[in-house]
Amino acid sequence: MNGIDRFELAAQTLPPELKRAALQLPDHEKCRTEEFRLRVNRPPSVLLREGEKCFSGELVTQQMLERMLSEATEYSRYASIETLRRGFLSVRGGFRLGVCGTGVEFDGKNHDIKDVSSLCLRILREICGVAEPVVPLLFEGGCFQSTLLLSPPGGGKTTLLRDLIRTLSNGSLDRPALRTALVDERSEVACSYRGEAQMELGAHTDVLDGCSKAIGIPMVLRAMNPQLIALDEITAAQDVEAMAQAANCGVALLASMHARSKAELERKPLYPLLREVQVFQKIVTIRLERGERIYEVESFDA
Amino acid sequence: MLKALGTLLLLAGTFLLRQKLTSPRKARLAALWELSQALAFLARGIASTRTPMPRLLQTRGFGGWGDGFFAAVYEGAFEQGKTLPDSWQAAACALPLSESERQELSALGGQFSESAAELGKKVAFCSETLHGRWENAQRECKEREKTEGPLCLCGALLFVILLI
Repeated sequence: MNGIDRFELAAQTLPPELKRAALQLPDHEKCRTEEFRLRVNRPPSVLLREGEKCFSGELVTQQMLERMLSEATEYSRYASIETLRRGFLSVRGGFRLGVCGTGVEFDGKNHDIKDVSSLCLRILREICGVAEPVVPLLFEGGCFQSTLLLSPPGGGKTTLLRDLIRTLSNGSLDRPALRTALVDERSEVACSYRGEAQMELGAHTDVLDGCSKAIGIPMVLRAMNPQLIALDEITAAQDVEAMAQAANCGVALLASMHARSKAELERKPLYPLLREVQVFQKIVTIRLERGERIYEVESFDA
Repeated sequence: MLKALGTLLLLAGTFLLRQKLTSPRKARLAALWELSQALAFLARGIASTRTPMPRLLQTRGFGGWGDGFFAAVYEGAFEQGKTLPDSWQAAACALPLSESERQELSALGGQFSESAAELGKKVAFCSETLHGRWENAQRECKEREKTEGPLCLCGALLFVILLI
């Protein structure tokens, strides 16, 4: 599905009055749109690489936002409450709806969001083939080496991670397929909707959706007998400890982390722990050069 | 021969008249029973298993009125692009219920943004209310039948005697 098709599919989620205006945008903007942003009492806008651009003079009302949220959940808000309380929803087609409003907090936890004031519909794009040049560099002696992907936010970590999972899970003539378990804590990689992955993740991938990494890694380790465990955005020490446990059982790991470079990674509080547990053997750094993504592979210990 | 035929026609006419009088009551009884069962199922699906609405509304086996109500709501909200409250209300209006029962049912349509526990409670309450109405309506129906049946028969026989 190309960029324009993805845009038009995402626009179906908008309230009818805004959908018409969105579909009138020129094609070159449709295929570059990353997000729809709707804020109450403000005109709706699309997020392009150069910034936000209004696409209708009509102001967004709270009724529009409530209707959009109801339709996105198929009038089953109660069924999506686990992610909604964390501020987002996975929408059919592999889109992600960020929600802002008034939090309903008690017992130290947020339980719901009421009086919705902003919605952000993220158009996730699947780019198949980006991992092809990287994959051969991640094998040594025919074995996949545990790898950490690094880039700043919006640098393409999740896109590369998704394509690596798909490529490794499918295998090739010179590489066996790897049984892969994805612990998709924030539903950003598989974009599962009601248990069904909306992104192509390969023939041998099992997805554990909406479960924290520290809990999910031992679960898939016991239940799914994976050869590779993939996860997005390592942020806590518990994540690293769970990964170390999996690595000790002979499972390879593929994860991502926010950092512009290895030097920035070394300044992160989690770095000493990562060095200590020796989970990763390779690092892939993603750099943007003249609008193109460059992937650099190096050894973790180099 | 003609008298016997006339008697038969009068009795048959009385029977048909009585059927016509009782059929709306029977339809209301059936609708109340089936909807109370369908809503009890909906309440369990929402509160216990948090099953999404489309899947719940595609469940069948509650009888003509119950299944028809679910089908109409599903088609309106998930196939024709109407909102769920609108399709719920339209489907409720098509049922052979009293005005207050229809209002009771229609009011549920606007509650679907509630939490599972709250919504489950409201749907269960509506199901219990309709079940209570069904019990009352059934009692009334039996009492009316006790008097209406013999009255119709007596009326027809009296008419026959007078004609003869």
